Amino acid sequence: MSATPETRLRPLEVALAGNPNTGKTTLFNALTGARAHVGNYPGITVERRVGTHEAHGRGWRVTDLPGCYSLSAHSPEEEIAHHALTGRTDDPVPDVVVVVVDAANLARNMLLLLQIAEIGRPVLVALNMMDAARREGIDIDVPALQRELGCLVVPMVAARGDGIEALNEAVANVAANPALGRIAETVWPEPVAAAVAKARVVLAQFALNRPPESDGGVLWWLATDPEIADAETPGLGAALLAAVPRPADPALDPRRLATVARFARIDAILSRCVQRRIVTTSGRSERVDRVLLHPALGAMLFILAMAGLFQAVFAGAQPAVDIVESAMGALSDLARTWLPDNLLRDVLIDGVLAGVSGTLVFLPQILMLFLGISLLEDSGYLARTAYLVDQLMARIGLPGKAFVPLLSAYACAVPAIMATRTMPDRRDRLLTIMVAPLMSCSARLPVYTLVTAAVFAHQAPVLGIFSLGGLVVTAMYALGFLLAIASAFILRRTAIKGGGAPLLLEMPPYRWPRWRNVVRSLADRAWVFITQTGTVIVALTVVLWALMTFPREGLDAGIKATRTAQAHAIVGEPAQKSALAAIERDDAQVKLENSIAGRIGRTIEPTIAPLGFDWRIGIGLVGSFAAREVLVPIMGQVFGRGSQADIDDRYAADVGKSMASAGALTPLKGLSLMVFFAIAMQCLSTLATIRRETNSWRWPIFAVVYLNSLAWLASFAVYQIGTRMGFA
Amino acid sequence: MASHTLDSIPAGEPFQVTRVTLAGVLGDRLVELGFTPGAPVQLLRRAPFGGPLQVQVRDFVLSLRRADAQAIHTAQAIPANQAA
Repeated sequence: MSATPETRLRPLEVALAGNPNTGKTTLFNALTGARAHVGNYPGITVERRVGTHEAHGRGWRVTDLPGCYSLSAHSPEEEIAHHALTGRTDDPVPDVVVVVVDAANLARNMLLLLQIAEIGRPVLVALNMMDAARREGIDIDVPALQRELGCLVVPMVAARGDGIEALNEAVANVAANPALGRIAETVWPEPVAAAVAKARVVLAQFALNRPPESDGGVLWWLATDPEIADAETPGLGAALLAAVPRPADPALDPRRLATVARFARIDAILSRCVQRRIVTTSGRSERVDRVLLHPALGAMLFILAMAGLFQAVFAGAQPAVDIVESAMGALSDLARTWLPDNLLRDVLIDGVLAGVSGTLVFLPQILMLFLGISLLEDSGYLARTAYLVDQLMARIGLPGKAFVPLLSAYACAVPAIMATRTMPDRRDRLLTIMVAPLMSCSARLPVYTLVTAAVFAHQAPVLGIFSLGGLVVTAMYALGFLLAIASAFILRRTAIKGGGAPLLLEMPPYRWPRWRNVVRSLADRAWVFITQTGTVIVALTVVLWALMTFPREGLDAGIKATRTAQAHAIVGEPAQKSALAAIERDDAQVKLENSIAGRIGRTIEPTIAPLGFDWRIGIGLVGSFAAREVLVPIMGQVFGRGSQADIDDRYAADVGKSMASAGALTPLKGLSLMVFFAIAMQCLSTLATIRRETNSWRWPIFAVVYLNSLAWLASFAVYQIGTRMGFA
Repeated sequence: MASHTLDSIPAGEPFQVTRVTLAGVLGDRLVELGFTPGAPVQLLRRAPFGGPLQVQVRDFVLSLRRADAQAIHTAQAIPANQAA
């Protein structure tokens, strides 16, 4: 660092605030380039993006506040936006707040501007998307707007980089002279002024950490959800409500009168600064909506779009998954030959490397899904999909925005749970996360293949045409879906009460997605998944490896020595090799049976026997906690087939047949096993993702308990009823 | 002037908001999105099978469920030449 006076200054704290869909993120990306960091605000799942920028010799620290329509807090995003502006988060109070405003939607955007100015931070307006406004026939007299507001207004097209230089200068000016960033406070009507006076008295009694000074600051506390106020200082929310009760006629509520007064002022300002050259009722987006939201045509295009998205995640990502798997396989083979044969090598390869592989293998599907989602979101179509399916989803107790995540859960629950980030309501989102693992994901297919190939393949076709195996697998998909509906219904009334948020969903104008934003959001997603979810996956994989490995008691040494000697005596190389391989296999089998997991398998046998599972399957249940498809190689090892990294259909079928000939698998036991796998929560990566997305261990643990209890009950019912009906 | 709730007005015709009758936070939220008395509002279309509505208030296009739209009362907009 050179020690010029400028660089020795602390960086300027600049916050970007604004409504969603105003190009705020585009501006953030344009300012900070690749120098940004994505994380969560402590304790909640609202994303926090911070980057750096430099202008006029001064470094900036730029915080991208969560997008929100209003500052009065009804959601975690709004609460964070307010708290960041008033210094209640870990970040310093911003020196300058750049309020990004959509020039084509001024009135609604300016509400937030007034609210931010009211709480006393220096503001300036980045009047973005001037090009879109011009196209819509909206003429904005910028100098007049600046005069009327009293703060600086910078016209911009952030996507093209237009106006960045002017913004740099404006920020520097406001930083040097904060008075430039003030907007005169709205003249409040009498009922609002009276309510502010009463609320001020209450706030003084509670001795807040950073008490509001302006009337607007007091109003914020008054209009905020009582729970949020109580979270800051217990009793504050109730006291404010008692001091300023909500009147019987909601239109007379001072909280609303304040909003009405702000809009009246905004409308007055805009009437003096904005001219509409063409008064159209049908802009460009409305013409597109006539097709895309058409009852018949729109529905068909929707199905096509969703089928395309699903194919991309389910099949399109597969080549990349194969590459990741074979690369990681080659890497662990290499490590196995290079490293000395000891426990450290095993933990590195079968624990750490397996965990890293178990993380990376999800990346192709995650990237594919988020590529689709960011294209849908940036184009404006994602909000339309929620509109189209809302009614359908309401029947299963979930909002329209749950559709895309649940659809993707049929490919994999991990990206699906990450995709719930697009859902605005916390409870709806949690509910969707909790039922997503019930959608039959692709990791269950090898298990289904194992069972159907072994016990349902040679039965006569049902009605002469449907293979029984195919029907059973279809039934598993239906079972997961029906249980998801039932679980959503029950959870909504028990563990996740409330929610069912109103659908107040902006349908933004259609826009071409910006590649830069898409790539940036994919990179952020991948980075967060690898660093935050990945570490948990690796840790859990190592633990599971230890369970399956220790105490490492293989074949009795004497027996092993005798058999090895016998094998070496065999004449003919192929026969000798296969005898030696058999010893290795038996040794691995005994080691697994004697391992902690093996012992757990034995210990839990009494609890799984009523489902038709013996202790050997019990080992599989423990081991497949890593990932469902791992059941296949574990069963291969236990039933003397040996384990194999590449789980293809033939291997799965062979393992199933070995299990069947050992009596562990019959049609009824197989059905019970499939039902168990259709429901049970057996996926470390999903658990790690739930942990990351809910920011607590509480919900992943809840998911394990509820889904596995449900799985046990269903398999119990299948096996017990089946046995009594005379099936085997 | 007859009052119609937003879910019952003809699509594509200019109306204006008269009042939001919903109490509590959801009502507050509607007002904050721009449903203030006098604001121009238009029903753009209804999703089939009783689905949500696509509505424009001022320059803001959003979707909301019919039940929620019932809390928004509207009146036929006065043509501009008479309003002045």
